[in-house]
Amino acid sequence: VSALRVRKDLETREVVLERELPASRDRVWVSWTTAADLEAWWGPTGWTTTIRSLDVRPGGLWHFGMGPDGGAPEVWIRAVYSEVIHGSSLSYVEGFSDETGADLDPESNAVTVDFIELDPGVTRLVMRFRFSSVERLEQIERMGMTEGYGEAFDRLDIHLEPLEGKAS
Amino acid sequence: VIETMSALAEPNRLAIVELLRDGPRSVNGIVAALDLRQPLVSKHLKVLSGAGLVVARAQAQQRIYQLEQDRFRELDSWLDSFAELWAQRLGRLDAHLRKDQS
Repeated sequence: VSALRVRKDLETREVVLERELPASRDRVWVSWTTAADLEAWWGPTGWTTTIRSLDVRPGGLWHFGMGPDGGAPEVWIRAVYSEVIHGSSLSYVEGFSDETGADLDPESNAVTVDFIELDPGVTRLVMRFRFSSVERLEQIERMGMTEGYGEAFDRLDIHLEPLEGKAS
Repeated sequence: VIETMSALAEPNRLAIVELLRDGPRSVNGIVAALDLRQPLVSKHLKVLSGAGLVVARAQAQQRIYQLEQDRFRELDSWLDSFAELWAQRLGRLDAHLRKDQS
């Protein structure tokens, strides 16, 4: 099982995650850009993701809800794609929403996902998250706790790079 | 964590924190290094120490400021839990991709 690499920059509040996946770049791209695929893996375990809109083009809307299996979605997320380079890069700005897809979160944050084929059948995913706002973080934190609940602990090696320049 | 982020959101405060990463400095030392006015530096140091990001100690007639590691550790561990969320999610994506190969 491939490990997740995490690079954190505390001052700029940026997190970069990298992980290799066992499929071609095109296959991994499809897993991020078709509703049936996304619903199958987005999770968390024990929760169902319901995609309402997935319009993968600049300015297009990605709108989905997440809730316990068998129940109604409890959390709605809306993302607007800012840049789409077919097969290689997705950028979007995500925020909290409701069932109608309304923009309820002016304090959204920016995400970029790059798809890099290392070898045939091995793709590296590079995700960059930029946390810009305080309120947004508070909500993400709450959401993170929700997701953590009921999640069967999936043992993955998280290799953390040492914090640069902090210890002195 | 939220307080830490707010305190770091202002560019001059971020510059002060970055400067202090290299070691403790007096107010005058910060003023000289960043070419900012002394009252402004004092104002920013007040916000940073209020958020627990820097601490001051008296030395002769001067106050020497240095980074307070605990707040950075807190932010660091918040980012770790965020990364953990994604470790699990990408673990599911990995399993999903393996499934359709078999």
